[in-house]
Parts: sequence; structure tokens; C-alpha cells
Amino acid sequence: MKIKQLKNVPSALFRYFILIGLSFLILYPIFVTVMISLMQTSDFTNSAVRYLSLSPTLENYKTAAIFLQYGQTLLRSLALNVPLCLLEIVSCMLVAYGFARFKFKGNGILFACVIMTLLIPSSIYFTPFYLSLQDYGPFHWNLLGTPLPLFLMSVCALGVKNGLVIYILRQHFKAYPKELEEAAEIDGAGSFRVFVSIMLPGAMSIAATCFLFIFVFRWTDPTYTNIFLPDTEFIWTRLSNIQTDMSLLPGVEQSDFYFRSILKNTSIVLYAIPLVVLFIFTKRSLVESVETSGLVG
Amino acid sequence: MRFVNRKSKSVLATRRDNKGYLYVAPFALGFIFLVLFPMIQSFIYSFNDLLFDGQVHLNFSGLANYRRALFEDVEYRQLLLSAVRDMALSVPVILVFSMIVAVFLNKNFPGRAVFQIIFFIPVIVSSGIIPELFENDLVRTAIVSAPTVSEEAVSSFDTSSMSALLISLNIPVALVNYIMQAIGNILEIVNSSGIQILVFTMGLKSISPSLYEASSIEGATAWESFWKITLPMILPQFVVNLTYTVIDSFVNNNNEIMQSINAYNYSRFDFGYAASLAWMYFAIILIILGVFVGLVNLFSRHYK
Repeated sequence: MKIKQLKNVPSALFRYFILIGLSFLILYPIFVTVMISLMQTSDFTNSAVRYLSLSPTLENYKTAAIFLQYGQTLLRSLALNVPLCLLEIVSCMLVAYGFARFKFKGNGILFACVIMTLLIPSSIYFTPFYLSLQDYGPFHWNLLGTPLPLFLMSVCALGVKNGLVIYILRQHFKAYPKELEEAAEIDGAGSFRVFVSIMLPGAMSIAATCFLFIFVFRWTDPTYTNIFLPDTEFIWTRLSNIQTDMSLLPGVEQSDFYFRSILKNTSIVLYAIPLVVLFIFTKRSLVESVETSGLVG
Repeated sequence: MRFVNRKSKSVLATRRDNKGYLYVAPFALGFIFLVLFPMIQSFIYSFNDLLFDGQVHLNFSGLANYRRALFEDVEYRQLLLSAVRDMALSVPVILVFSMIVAVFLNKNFPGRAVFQIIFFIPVIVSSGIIPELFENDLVRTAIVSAPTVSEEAVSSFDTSSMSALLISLNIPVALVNYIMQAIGNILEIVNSSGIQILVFTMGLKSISPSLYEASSIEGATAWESFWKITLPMILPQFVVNLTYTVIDSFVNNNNEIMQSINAYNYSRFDFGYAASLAWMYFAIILIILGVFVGLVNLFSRHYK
């Protein structure tokens, strides 16, 4: 037994070597961003400073918050995204349950359509949908500039990369033994009851993980939102403005690229805060959903 | 049970299974009305000149849009070629890389949960608008890439001597160059493997440990059990990751072609032309994905 353990030492060392190296690659850019956000412009020209500012300051965060109109845009972005993501996770779970536990005719073809939604460049179906929005349905509604199309897409599990989420959840639901379901049905439980009281309790951690996915996808890729709501200022709209427009800040030279860099890095930290918070809350589920994915199978 | 074929499925079971329609209905309806119909429409657009003034006016122009894209638009052809080349080169690297990391993470060792969390971070930071902002931040780039003392020591380990060593071992030059290029792009590879690693780890977890026990009693080495057990068991995850990798880099809205299509759509309002560009791109993605999936199928037939 001892010898076997000793034999594993080199391979364990090798594993740590590789994993730590890769983790460094991942964490280093984040470290640099946070460090820059604490700097002052004078630190860039000081050769003694590489990462840590001589006089670290949180002043940048105040400036960036003014620039992003942080409180306002953050609330607005969350007020749109959180309901959308909640709708998406609910509809994705129901759809995945339908695909996983019922062998209806056309199951395979419809599921292929789920994968297809991932594959089709969104601009193919987006334009006609977008053009029809001005005069939508039998009542000729003008839906452009309203969040309604976004909600419609979320209800139908057609949000950003929802296909992937449906796939993951379907894999999860497929792993439950058939007997569990049958026993409940003999006792008179309907299929929705089975979903709520048998499937759901075991799916909480994977659902939390998928919610994290959905939220991250939506937060970092606001293309849809920008197309449907072009005139509303969200936090990402302000963020992309850093490139062109710092005029909101009084007393700042447009060409001051040192300051622009500080502002950019600080703003990105602020922008990522909701993601970090959600990540902290769901990281346990993230690990758990990987751990337990074997147990039900 | 094996002899009960589909046709003799009981009425009760069919009635139960038909309830499934209820659950997938939101998606099915959404797909038909928000994806399929618009897709057909956009296919029609691609053969027309399109004028939009509150109402859509179509002007049939045959293959003119496609001809324009392929023979007149210098930019599109180049973008397409480079996108296809990048896709063909990067997809295998990302898949192999995330598989290796997932296998590493699959063993039980202290600190595994921490690594699992770290490897998910790229999903958060490296997609969407954040990398775009970093791209033209010269000040930041200077800080990130300035050499330190330790890096100078490392760089004395020259990659060219490494590749010379590999070539002298009779490994094909093209393969060596490919590997070296992958090592050079390691950051990008790590950044685009977050989801794939997670999907693979979930797949690996669901393989019953008794399979490995049995094989090690039979005297199989770790290497053998990887090829004979691990790989065949996670082929479904492999196909999903393959699809996802293709999507992630090529149907992503950051992709240059997607951006140029979006530009034709939403700032130049040249909808007909944009539709033809998108359809050609879609066809190419399908072909390449088909080739990849075909290769995987060929490989999996090996096990049957």
C-alpha cells in the first residue's frame, strides 16, 4: 500500500504543477486589473511601480461610478436581467424535463432544434423578427423599444445560449431512475407533481449553476438587449462609451490615455461586481453539481 | 422487455408520453414563430434587394447578393477564410486541452474544489465586452507583458530548441509547429475552455468507478483505461463540447464575421445582403461541424 502511494507522488506533483500554472494564467489578468484600478496616473511613469501603487487610492472607484452613473444604470440593468434570467431558468427546466422524461413523437427532432438554436447565427432569424416588430401580430403593435420581445424570447427558452442550458438540464433529468417516477404516478401524482416533488429537490444545485450560466451569458453579451432597447442606457452601454467619450467627467483631458486606462480597469471591476456576487453565492452549487452528477446515474 | 417493440407501446404509456408536448410547447412554439418563420423569411431576403421604410419592400435580385459576397466583397472572403482556418485549428486544441484538465480535476486531491472554481472564472471574464475593452488598453498591456527577472530566466528556455528536440524525435514538423503555436496561445485556449471543462468533468463524474477497478484488476494501465473506458464513456459530452466550441468562437457576437453581418444589418440597413452573408456562414459552419461530428462517429464506431 505504501509503495503504491509513493508511486503516485510524481503524478500528483505534475498535476499540481500544471493546474497551478494554468490558474496563474487565469488569475494574473484579474490581478493586474484590480491593481491598475488602485493606481494614480503618476504611478505609470514611476519606474519603481509595477503592480502596487505608491499610494493606493479608492478615488478611481468614485470617478468610475460617476462616469458609469453606477447606481442608476446598475439597477436598471439588474431590473431587466434578473426577471429575464429567472424566466429563462424556469422555462429551460420545464423544457428539459419534457425532453428527458417523455418519449413523445418528434422528441428527437425537436431536441435537434434546440441544438440548432445554438448553431444558427442569430442574425439569420433576428432581422426578420426585428423588422416585423414595428407592426407585430394581428393588432399591429409596435414592439420596438419595448422589452417585450426579450421577455417573449425568455419565456420560450430562446435567450442567449439557452440551448446549452437545456442540454445540461436534460442530461441531469435523464439520470433519474424510472421507478421513482412510476411509483409516484401509481400513487396518483401528475407529471407536474413529479417534477416539483421528485425532480426539483435533486436539481437545485444544477439549476443554480445553470442560472449562473444564464446570468453570465446575458450580462457579458448584451447584443440582444442593445438591439431591442437601443435608447436605454444600461451599464454596458456606459462601459462601451469609455472608448469614445469621457466628456461626462469635468476636468479630464480626452487624450489622457493613462487616465483612460485607469478608468477602464476600474469600470470593469465595477461592472463585474454583480457577476462576482452571484459567483460567490453559486460556487458551492457549481462544485456540488459536478460532484453529484455521478451519484444519480 | 427487449422484445416489446415501439408499435405495441400501451395506450396508457402513449398518453403519458404525450404530456411531454405540454412541457416542450413553449420552446416548440417559440422555435416555430421566432426562429423558423424568420429563418424562412431571411432565406427569401437573401435573394432580394430589401428596402425598409416601416414596411418591407422586396425586389427580387436572384443570386446577386451571393455573387457580391463571393466575388466583389474583398473583406468577406478574407474574413471567411480566416474564420474557417481558425475554427479548424483551434477546435481540436480546445477540446483536447479541456479534456486533459477535466481528467486532472477528476482525481481526488486536496484543493480540487478551488481549482474547479478557478477554471470557471474565464467563462465570466473572457466573454462578451470585457476582452474587447482590454484589447486597446496599451497601458495595461505594457504592465502585463513587461519582462521581470524571473521571466528572463524562463525565456532562456527557448521554444525553438524545444521544437528542434521534438522534430529530432521524428515527430512531423507540421504537428510540432501546431503544438508550439498552441502553447503560444495558451491564454486564449484557457480562456475559451471554461464551459467545456465543466461539461467534461460532469461527464467523467458519471462514469462508474467500478469500471476502473475492474480494469485495473485485469491489469490495465491508466493510459489504457483512458482510451478504453474514459473516452468512449464521455463521447456524448465530447459531441456537445464540440458543438459548443464551434458556437462559442464562431457564432459569438464578438466574431469578426458576425460583427460585419451585424453592421450590414443594424447600421447600414442592407438587410438582403446581410442575410446572404449570414446564410453562407451558416452553411459553412454546418459543413465543418458535420465533418467533425462525422470524425467522432467514425471514432466511436471503433468501439462497437
